[in-house]
Amino acid sequence: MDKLNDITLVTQVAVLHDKRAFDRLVRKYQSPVRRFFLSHTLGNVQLSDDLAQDTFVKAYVNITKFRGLSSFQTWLFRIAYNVFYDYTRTHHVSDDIDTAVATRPDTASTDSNLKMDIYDALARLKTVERSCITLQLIDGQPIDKIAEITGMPLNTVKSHLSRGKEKLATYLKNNGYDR
Amino acid sequence: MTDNDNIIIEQLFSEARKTEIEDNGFSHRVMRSLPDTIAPISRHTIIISRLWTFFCVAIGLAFSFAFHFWELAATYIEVFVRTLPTYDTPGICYAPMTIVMVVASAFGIYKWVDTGRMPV
Repeated sequence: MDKLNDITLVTQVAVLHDKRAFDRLVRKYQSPVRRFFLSHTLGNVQLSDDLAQDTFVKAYVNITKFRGLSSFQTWLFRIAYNVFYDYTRTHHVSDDIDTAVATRPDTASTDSNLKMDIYDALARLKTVERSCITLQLIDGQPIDKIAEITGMPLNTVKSHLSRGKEKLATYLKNNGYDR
Repeated sequence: MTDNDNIIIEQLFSEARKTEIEDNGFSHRVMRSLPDTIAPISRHTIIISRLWTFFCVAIGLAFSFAFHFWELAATYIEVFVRTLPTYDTPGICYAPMTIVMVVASAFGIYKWVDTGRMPV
């Protein structure tokens, strides 16, 4: 029913150029998309909002290309994933842990609802591992959807998830989470 | 990876999963930054859409003939027309209803022609 409602709204945008319908889609999906970017930028609110805005603008411009083969949310996350990877390519963002932690914004500029521990833990992961972990553990996406969003084979996603979780577990145990 | 490791990770991320980020004007900013134009529907999609419409109409007609829909419809219409004068419906005025239906149909056709697109 939810998927049908999304397709109705997308059709209204694509055929009638109804911006109010798109506004409803933005309001519905702003939270998961911004949360996705917050995890990737390790809590940088300003950068996350800029990337999320870019994602929605791209979704609007290309909405006629949505085929409805996957859910609108999966399609939107695929755009968000590509937006983030375009950003990392153009800004030469490194996977290096020290750089990631050093360039992380201060606490005042981050979303207070999300614990800094999560960002500290996510900073230990490579970008692809972080993508897979974020999509599974925060956004609750199943593995096949993660493969669809990232464009990676299923087994590669499983490997990234496994490696990412091992790194997270090691980091958390070293920081007293297992007590 | 042990079960305990999974529990630790799950505990850490469970709170983040439940967190809903407040809009705080974000949607408004997005709506203001949208361009006026969107990518047109591709020729390929329009062709597929027309083929699909043609297919559905063909299936509908095939079923109509297979189940003698025309005879059934003709019978219903005939009964309706013959019994219409016998109905005592002072509250219903057919003229405005007919006008509304004609105007709504004309508006629908105009909108369809104006956008120059098939519904997808």
